[in-house]
Amino acid sequence: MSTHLAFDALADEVRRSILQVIADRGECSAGEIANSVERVGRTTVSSHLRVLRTSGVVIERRAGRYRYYSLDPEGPARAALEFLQGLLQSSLRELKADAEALAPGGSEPRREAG
Amino acid sequence: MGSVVLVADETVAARCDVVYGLFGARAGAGWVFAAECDTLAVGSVVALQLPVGGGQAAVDILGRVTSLVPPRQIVIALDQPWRGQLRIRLERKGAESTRVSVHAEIDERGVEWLLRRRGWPACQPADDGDYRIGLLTSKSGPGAVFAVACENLAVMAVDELNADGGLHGRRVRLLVSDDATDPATGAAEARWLVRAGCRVVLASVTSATFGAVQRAIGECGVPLVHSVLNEGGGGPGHVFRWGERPADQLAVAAGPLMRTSGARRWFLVGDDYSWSHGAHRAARQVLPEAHGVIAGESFVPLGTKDFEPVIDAITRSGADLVLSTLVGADEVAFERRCFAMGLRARCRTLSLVLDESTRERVGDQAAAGLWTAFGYYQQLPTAENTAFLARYRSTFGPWAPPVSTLSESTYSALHLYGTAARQARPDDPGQVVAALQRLRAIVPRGSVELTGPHHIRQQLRLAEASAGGFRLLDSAG
Repeated sequence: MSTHLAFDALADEVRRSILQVIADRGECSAGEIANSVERVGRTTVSSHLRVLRTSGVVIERRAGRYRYYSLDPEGPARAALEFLQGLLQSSLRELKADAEALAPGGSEPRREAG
Repeated sequence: MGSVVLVADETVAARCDVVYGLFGARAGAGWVFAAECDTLAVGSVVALQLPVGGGQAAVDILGRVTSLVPPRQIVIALDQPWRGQLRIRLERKGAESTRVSVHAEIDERGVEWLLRRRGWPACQPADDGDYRIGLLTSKSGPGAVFAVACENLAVMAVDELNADGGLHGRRVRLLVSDDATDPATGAAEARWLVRAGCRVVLASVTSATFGAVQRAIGECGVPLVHSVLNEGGGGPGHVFRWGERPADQLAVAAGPLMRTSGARRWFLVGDDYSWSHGAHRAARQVLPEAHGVIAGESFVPLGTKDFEPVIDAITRSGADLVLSTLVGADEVAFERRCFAMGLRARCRTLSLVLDESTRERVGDQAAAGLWTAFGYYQQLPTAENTAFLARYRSTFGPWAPPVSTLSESTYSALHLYGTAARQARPDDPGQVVAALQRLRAIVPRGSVELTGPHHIRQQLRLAEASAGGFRLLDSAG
């Protein structure tokens, strides 16, 4: 699962309300979720739940013909760390570009060291 | 998970000292190296703009340089939005090549903060029989500058309550939420704190957020406390508004500043929300009584970064005194710009929200000579304050942000609440509320008295910003 997927999954308002319902109630069925998220129909909720499951944000448990959903905090936590790691790395890439443009022949630093 | 250290590295074709010199130089050198700091010195404050993504504005990471080994190492302690450390190492790899590595430490609460910011829901902590207290504070947005130490001080107060047996035999647990200096976010977070079972919500936030929180949870009966300075306002008996009031601050400071400077033409500048509007209303009453004249007034949206138009308006108005009611990052940007544009030579300034954290981010040079009036300063020469600061430093270390009137009021509010709760029968919130309406106590700022839900009696003191802190002034002077 990539950082991208988890954060993309969180970027939608309906999906955030679905997650809030699961957060407030603990594990619940697709039906319960659809009843609590009033703005959209059952089919839409199902397709959002599929996105949330494939992006590693919720866990699906099947019992007979019912499906139950709970939050998977480990997936998003991993995504957050990967996101921050990516930010650090891109910051250093920008530093490299800037420093090398500035100092091809070792020109003076803009601030005295120390 | 405990603390995690993230590592990134890159080899740069430039000399070690050149790369080192780029830190804080405000170049396009990536967000870590483009940190904002006046001087690269141990102890100086640093702000880094973290691109949090998701179409949201960058968030300021507030920190402080804790160790320097030029040109090989820079270590920064991070205070907000999470506590951690950033260690930058530079290693010489031949004459014209440097290996740069960054180690960033983040804990569980930092990850939780980022996930909340990106839309992850807040989960209910399982009921563990704890006595829950909610703290709503600004870990991000322009208010983070003045709120930076509030969480630390709340944690310290809760630890002290627990060391003293907790409340009604239960361990006190602090739940902390970030309003992002945004009223709608604050209201949603306050609702969550109530749902999570908090028996009191302490809101160390702007008046704009406080108003939204009062509308969101004011009817549910859970005591709500605004301990930080505010413009006042009514409300039911369980909605408490303590803190300094602008009319009292002005009464202490305006007369002496006019006498000292010989000036009397005031320009009022504030953020466009209830606090500044209330403070300017007070100024229209207090300043003329002290024989001051109001030469002009300007409001800017909270979060303003460019103050040049305002400073031009001040210059054009012919004012020789400035009353600033700007808060947090706005006050920092305004005072720095005033200094850079030479306004200090023409105008003396009274700032109503220049607390210790805001002052150090304005910087020693640009803040020198600014006046303020609060009930608390780190410099208060009392035994209570000395012991209080010693406890703070021993808990959070030498590099934790300074204590200010805002964070001390958060600490004291928790102890006042604890005292009231202990006077009441268990599970009788009405008695706690009644006790909080008439209470005397000695807190780090001195002796205070709560008289009704919307007033705290305390002594305000006049002070002038100077290098490293404030110089207390005699308000009779």
